[in-house]
Amino acid sequence: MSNDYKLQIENLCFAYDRDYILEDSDFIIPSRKISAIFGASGTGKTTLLTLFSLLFRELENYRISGKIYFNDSGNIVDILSIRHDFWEIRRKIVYIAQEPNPLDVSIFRNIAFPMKLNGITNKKIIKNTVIESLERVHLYNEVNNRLKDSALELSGGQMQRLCIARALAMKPEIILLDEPTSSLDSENKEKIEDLIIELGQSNTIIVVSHDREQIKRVSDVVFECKGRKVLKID
Amino acid sequence: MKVIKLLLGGYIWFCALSITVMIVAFLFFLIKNSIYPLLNIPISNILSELFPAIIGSIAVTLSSVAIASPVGIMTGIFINEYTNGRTRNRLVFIFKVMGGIPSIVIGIFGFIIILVVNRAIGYNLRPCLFVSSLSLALLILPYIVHSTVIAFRSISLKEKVIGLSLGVKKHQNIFYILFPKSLPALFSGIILAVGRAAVDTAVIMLTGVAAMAGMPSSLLKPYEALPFYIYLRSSEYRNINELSMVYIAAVIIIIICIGLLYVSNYIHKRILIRIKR
Repeated sequence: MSNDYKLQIENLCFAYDRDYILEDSDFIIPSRKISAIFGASGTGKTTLLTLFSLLFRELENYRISGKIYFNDSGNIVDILSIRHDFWEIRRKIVYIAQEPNPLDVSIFRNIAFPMKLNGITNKKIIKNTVIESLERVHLYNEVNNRLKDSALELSGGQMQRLCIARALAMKPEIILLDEPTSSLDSENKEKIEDLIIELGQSNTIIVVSHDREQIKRVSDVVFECKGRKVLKID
Repeated sequence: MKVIKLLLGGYIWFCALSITVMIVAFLFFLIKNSIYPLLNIPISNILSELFPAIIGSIAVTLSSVAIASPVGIMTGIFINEYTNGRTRNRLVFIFKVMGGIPSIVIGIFGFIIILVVNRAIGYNLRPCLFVSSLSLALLILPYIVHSTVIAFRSISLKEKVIGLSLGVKKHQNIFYILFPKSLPALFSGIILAVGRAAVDTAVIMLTGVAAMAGMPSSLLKPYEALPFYIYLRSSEYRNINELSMVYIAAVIIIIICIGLLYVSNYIHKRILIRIKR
């Protein structure tokens, strides 16, 4: 596998509660590009993201086969062969849910807390990373005087950017965005799209969306989930 | 259809009102009957008679909750987060069955512990506060396990994966993210357990409570408790004054339960404030 690719998927099959969602899917996610996945509801778009982030391991009654090779800075790992310590992969392939889901703590703590749990204890590093992450999502100027306020007081768009900032603070290799603008108004939607384009210049991003206009605007590579397969659209 | 709706509404109102009226009437009866001795018997006499039982009740309740809570919460977390499918259902069923065991049986179990310790280990263990606490802990354990399972089950998968999706380890996710979220439901379970432990008589009768034992001076000594005092006095009273003391004891036990509920709520709020900072 060339180093230009971040994920290589081979013969991927996934069934949940005996219903096959994906069958024999083969495709490649390029490095440092924005890959978009679209398709009708129930075709397995979100499932794909949970497979990449290994969050499907939290489910019961599933069956999976195939390979997902993750190019971890030249070190290639089949993440489906990992049976324990999923957190190592999840730290590198970070999933951001469709609905903004900040923790019920302060804005600062929302970003600092996962860092602390991941072993970063130096207060100065944490503070700098929090500020840097908030600046990267253009949220710092909006919240810099209320970092100790509850994150639940933010607007929907701000919450979504906070969730992206929280993910960026982990310095991930891949960012998985699950319909990031579905719950936002047009103004916030545009802000998030601009942010995705900006982040895509230096990160590998996989974004799931059903909005064709959005996909056209933000993505470099497009995949379609159709009939249990994932097809690359040229 | 309209008639059924009306009847159903009426029935709901009847149930709610009749229960409220019953509780209010019961409390009124208790308070009315406890006022008489308060006016006629010197307070110092009442206190000297009831104080050891009050302290004994608080001691046995708090120590049993202190023993059962960590074990129950950890068991509940294990059942919900570390088992799956059939194993989980079986364990939940076992604890539901345990919750239905009559308290006298738990009392016998505590008594057997005393016998086993005496015969097998050779240590001269007698019925005492410690064995009562241990037995009461066993009695309330299923309530705490059940409330923990329910509390963790009520957290949606979306919420459960917030931490996991950021690379947080499973145990960290449980104790730093899910546990604080489940605290309100957990505290409800613990409060219920406090109420159950505070009023149970059968368990403590066989394991450590004694009449005229005085203030509880050690975990390994017998003690007095309000439920046992109520049981003993109400079955053996010789005059109206002794019966009146039973009503006072009943009012005090209700006050203790309400007090413990407030303390639990206060601790709960303090913990939530600390977590949110």
